[in-house]
Amino acid sequence: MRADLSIAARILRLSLRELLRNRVGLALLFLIPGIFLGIVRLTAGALPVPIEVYFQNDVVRLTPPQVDVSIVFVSASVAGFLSAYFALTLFQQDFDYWRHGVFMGLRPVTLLLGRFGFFVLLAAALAVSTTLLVAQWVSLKQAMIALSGYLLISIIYGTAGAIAGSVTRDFLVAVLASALLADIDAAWLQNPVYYTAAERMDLIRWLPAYYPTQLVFSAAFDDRVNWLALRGCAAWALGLFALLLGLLHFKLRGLSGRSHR
Amino acid sequence: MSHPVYLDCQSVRKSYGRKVVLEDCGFVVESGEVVALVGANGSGKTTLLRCLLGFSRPDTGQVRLNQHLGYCPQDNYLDRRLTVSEHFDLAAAILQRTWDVSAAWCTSLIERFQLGAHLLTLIGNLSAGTYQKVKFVTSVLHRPELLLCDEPCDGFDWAMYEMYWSLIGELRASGAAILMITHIAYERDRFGRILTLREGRVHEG
Repeated sequence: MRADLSIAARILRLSLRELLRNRVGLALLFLIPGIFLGIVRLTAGALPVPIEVYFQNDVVRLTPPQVDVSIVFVSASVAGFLSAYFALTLFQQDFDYWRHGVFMGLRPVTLLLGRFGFFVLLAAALAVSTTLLVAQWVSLKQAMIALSGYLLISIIYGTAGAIAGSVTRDFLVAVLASALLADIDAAWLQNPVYYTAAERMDLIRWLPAYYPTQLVFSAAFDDRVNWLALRGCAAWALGLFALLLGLLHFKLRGLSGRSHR
Repeated sequence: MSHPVYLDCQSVRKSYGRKVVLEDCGFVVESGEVVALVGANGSGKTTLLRCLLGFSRPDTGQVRLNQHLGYCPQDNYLDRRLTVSEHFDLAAAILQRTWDVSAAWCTSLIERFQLGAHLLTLIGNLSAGTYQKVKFVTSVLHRPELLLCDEPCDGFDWAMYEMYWSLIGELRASGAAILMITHIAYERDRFGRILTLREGRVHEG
């Protein structure tokens, strides 16, 4: 048990070093938020925009300035996309190496603990920096809940990215699948200006970014905690994590615990 | 006096759809033996290896192997973004969960295969021959009793080739069994036996 924890900690440290050696990834970490938020700052206006936020029993209509809505929304999309990309690299690139590790005696649960543990730390760092960045321009009503929203969208989209990376060995296909989902869901359908006027909300509510973006909007512009969104986020995160576990178990089956047959 | 059997493959059959790749494959490898398994491209060597290692389930048949196993695959599986030293440290820590990994043995392997100068190099920046050496050394860090190698000498220069054979001799002398999978067995006298995979069956010689 102690040896497994020590190996998990070693995998976590190595994952951090791998990230620091991934120059493209590091550049994206600064470039994507810089470009997207820069464009928002350059283009969005101060006029109020009507948006709706969905609580357990009621719908709250708010009218924050367009620039504030855009900053909060674009930040959530960017956090989702970046975490999907990083999780994908963690669970797809060099996966054969970790398969071989399992063959040599590494327990799959130790691998998951180290790799997913590092991803959660990365998502937390992403959420904290996103919240701090957003707070420079938008007066967040509940900063800690907004941070939770950014963390949860990072974890949900990151797990989705890890699943995409586990399903296909083709990095480009996996990146495209993650980017497409993030683009359609987090960057388009969950845009409050779009969904507030949408005729059919049913589909939009069943997408993974719905609850985290609702959590972020309610925390940014309202005083109440959105428990419905929190529960929805937890369900999505746990469901996707269970799916990832199942996929990894399937991919690593037969490698550990060899016995005479 | 008979030696303990470290690898026992009995009547293994494997097919993919209608294509039968292995048909009634059987052989044993005993302690202290160095055996080559040769065959033409596409003869089923890799499929047989996958069945031996448990990566692929045979349709019928049985495989029994010593659990103190080392495996050097042909694939370039190493993580390109780790240094050689980080890789060896992790591999040793993983192997140490189950087996005894002696620091002196690991150091001697690194010295003998002239990897000391590459310990801080990223695996992605290694030459093909050095990459192969790292792969091979990884498979013997725990001094396995049974070693399965798939084309282990690819990219070795002559000095390394000799070093490789000297190490194989050492392992063999200590009672290990070695099965080497290769297209062509050069220097046949280096092997105790040569098995040929032809038309899905294993033939002696």
